[in-house]
Amino acid sequence: MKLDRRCLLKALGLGAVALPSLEAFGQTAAPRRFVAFYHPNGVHPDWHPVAGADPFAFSFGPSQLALAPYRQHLLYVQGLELTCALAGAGEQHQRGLSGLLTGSTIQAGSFTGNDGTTAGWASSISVDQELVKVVGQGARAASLQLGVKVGERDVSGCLSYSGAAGPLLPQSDPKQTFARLFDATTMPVDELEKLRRRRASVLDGIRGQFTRLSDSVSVADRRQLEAHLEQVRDLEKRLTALPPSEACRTGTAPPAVAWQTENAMPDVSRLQLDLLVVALKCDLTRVATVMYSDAKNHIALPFLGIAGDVHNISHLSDSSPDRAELATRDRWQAEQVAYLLGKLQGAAEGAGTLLDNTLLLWSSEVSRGNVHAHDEMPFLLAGHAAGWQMGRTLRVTRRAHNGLLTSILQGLGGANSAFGDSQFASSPLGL
Amino acid sequence: MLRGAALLVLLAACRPAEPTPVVCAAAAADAAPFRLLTRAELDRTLRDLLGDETRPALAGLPAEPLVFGFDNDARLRVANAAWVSASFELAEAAAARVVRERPERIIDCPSRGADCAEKFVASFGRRAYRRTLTLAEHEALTTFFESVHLSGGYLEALEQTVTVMLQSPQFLYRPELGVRAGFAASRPLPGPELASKLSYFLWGTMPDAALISAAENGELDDSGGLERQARRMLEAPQARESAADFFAQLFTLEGLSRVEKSTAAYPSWSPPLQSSWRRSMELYFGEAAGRAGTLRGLFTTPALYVDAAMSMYSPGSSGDFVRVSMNSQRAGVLAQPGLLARLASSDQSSPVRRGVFVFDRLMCQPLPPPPAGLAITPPVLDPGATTRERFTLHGKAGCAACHRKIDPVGFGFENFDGMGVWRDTEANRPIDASGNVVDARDPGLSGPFDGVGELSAKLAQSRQVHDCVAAHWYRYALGRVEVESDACALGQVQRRFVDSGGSFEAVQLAVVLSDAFRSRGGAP
Repeated sequence: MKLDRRCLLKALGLGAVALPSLEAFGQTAAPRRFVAFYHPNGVHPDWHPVAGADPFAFSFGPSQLALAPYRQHLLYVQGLELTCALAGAGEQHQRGLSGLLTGSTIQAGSFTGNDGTTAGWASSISVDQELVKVVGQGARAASLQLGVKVGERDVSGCLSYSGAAGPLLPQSDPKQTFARLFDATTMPVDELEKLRRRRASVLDGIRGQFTRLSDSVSVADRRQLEAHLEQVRDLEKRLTALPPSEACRTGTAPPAVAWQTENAMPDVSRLQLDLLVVALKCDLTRVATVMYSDAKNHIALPFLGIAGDVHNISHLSDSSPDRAELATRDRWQAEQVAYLLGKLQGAAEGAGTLLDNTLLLWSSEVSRGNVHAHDEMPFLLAGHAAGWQMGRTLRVTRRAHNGLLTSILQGLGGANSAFGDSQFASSPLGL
Repeated sequence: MLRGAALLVLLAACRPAEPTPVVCAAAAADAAPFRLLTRAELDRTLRDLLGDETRPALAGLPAEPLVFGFDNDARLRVANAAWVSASFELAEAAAARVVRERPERIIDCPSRGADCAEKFVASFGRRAYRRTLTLAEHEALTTFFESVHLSGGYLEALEQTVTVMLQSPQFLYRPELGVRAGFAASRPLPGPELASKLSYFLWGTMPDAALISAAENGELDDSGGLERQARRMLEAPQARESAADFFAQLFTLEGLSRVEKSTAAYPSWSPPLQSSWRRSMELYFGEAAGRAGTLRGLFTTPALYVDAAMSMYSPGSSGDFVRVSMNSQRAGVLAQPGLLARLASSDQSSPVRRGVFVFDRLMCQPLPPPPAGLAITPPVLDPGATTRERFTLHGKAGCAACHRKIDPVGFGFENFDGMGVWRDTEANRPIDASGNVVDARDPGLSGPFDGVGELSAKLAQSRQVHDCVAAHWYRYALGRVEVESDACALGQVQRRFVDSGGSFEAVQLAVVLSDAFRSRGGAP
């Protein structure tokens, strides 16, 4: 099924009306945003840019031409290694995905990997969630974990972690994304005010019940309740901190799509990214991750003419004729990134655009699927929120990607001097 | 019932093999005192508590992580921001629905005044919190009701109080705190906590009035009383629903909604098959794993449930599901189309996935990982070669260590293509479905077989498979994967399962009566 673009935008309440802009934000006050993109099983060699005479003179890899219009906003970092994924429980996809944003080695556990080995969750907080502390305070949703046909409900399908015991599984139904962001915001103001008063009353009652139970349990057992209560308090703050602009309250639910099917992936991707842009623009969230499928990725992509199992295709040797299908997949993924960059660039904010205040990171859980390698990882950064010089490639001599994660934190205002497991060198890259 | 219990005592007395029952030390590290309800549990609870049939949790709350296919691992369930925000809105909506559509379901108070507060909080609260409220809880909720009543009236007070209760930890969690008993490492669960645990295990939903009363009267504190209640519950229809849920998770039916086939390879595939496969297997579980179900029945019952979408499995099927008796070609759970299609690629069968599933899921004998840095490349489609021929490359160095075990089991499934449709030939050659179980822990399980029927018969009588399935029940009941200190309690459950001839009812009773189920382990 193909959805009409215009119809989609209209359904999202974004048709004739221009995107609501946050005039309240001056150039200096605009919040900084972070978005991480993930796609599974590494890349075809055609993904990588080819070096030129100087860092600015690179040529795009043949599968990445969709990104060419955004050249001056991009920074390829080459030569990084997912060192944290070289050892630990489970298989290379599990280790790579759990380490990608956490920079730490996977825990032991009971999640069956692609080859029957088992592993647990990641063992520490992921960089996007660390950034919630830095840039994400005050938004309606602390962060969004969006999926496009993410199937696995374990470590193979999880990119974000609020901590060692805090997997944040993505959800792939645009309707749920909408509900998370816009449910009550669609009401008239006076009704909204009534709802807010009632919610304050109810939340007060709930807190009372937490206290009654807490009083009767041991100190050790109280921890879990307190963590939950903290979320309830947070919810109260978010429910009462509604977006300032009228236009941000008038979303219409996205159309129903068969979001679990392969052929709906292009539509789901558009819907999720459109909602993401509105969420960023209206300051409903400042931190998001977008996962395409999961690290097991036993799916076909019939809308691209790929009938075979993409994970299996990622295993083919570089000389195999069918390996070109992986480049086709990479091309489509680049188009999704390009689509988001275009929307961010098209959204004015202060004297600039939303892209000026966003940093995007795109990668995968392995570099070359056919050898399950973790060196020469594909890392692309985009946007200007970190204030780095863009439009170039940077080659580093094989080192742990933890340094990149530290750089991202520092670039967006974090005070972190290191990130992830301390056994991996994580001083910032100097971007 | 008394007669049954008395009989058991007599039987125990004349059973020489077990002179004194071994008392297992409690399992240690089960420090997950608060078990968050799963979406399925929440939906059934809202159904039974409020008469709400809309199943809002399944559609509206974030999905649970899965461990061995199970959605209820207590330690992995954390109320994160997305969950708290979605469950808050769920509670608001459910409270509004019940107050608007069927208030009589939750309150009987004709005066509709502030004086209803006490009565409502006590009676509805006992059902919602699955125990009598503490004085402090009762007072706080009554005061809340009265104050909302003052400003917003009766219905508003009712709706807000229900919302508060549906968002309270007393409702959302099943606390398993236990009672400290002297210096003992383990703490027995008090009646109401045990009642909830029992009910969510055997029924997947809240306890009924009889169970709450029994618990508060202390009837669950001894084995006889606990067993009486468990047997009563196993006879109820909710027990079949819950058992079907267990098997659906054990056989990973959740994944069926994501199975898509290449229409080039399988023109008969279409999306409605996803739900037909699932329903078909649920019906199969209802028959083979129902009340009198046994492991043997699960592996050998020659039945297939088909609807119009499944005509490729049984020509002429039309309309709603009907039961079709099958011959030995399609006997047992391993020959069910949904499972076979799930354990396959989109365009071909997969001896590897099928073999790994049997080792991993049914034998509990996971295989070591492939060597680091190995290029893993499944054979590409070749119309001139059979699947077996193409996969024989696995016999080469590097792959052989594992594939000498995986493939011979997987090859036994070759009569079923990637859709789970029976085939006699592939690439114009007759199917060779001969297989071999290599190096099973259970020596009796090792050895050659021909086709899924013979494999199923081998599995059905293996001690290793009995132990494995009993371990799955144990995990499902306790909401966690077993640890070393569970060995004794789990061992007892496994023995009971074997001794009972593989009865699913017996294994559930054995879990309920185990110390691990009835007490909280020796966490500090």
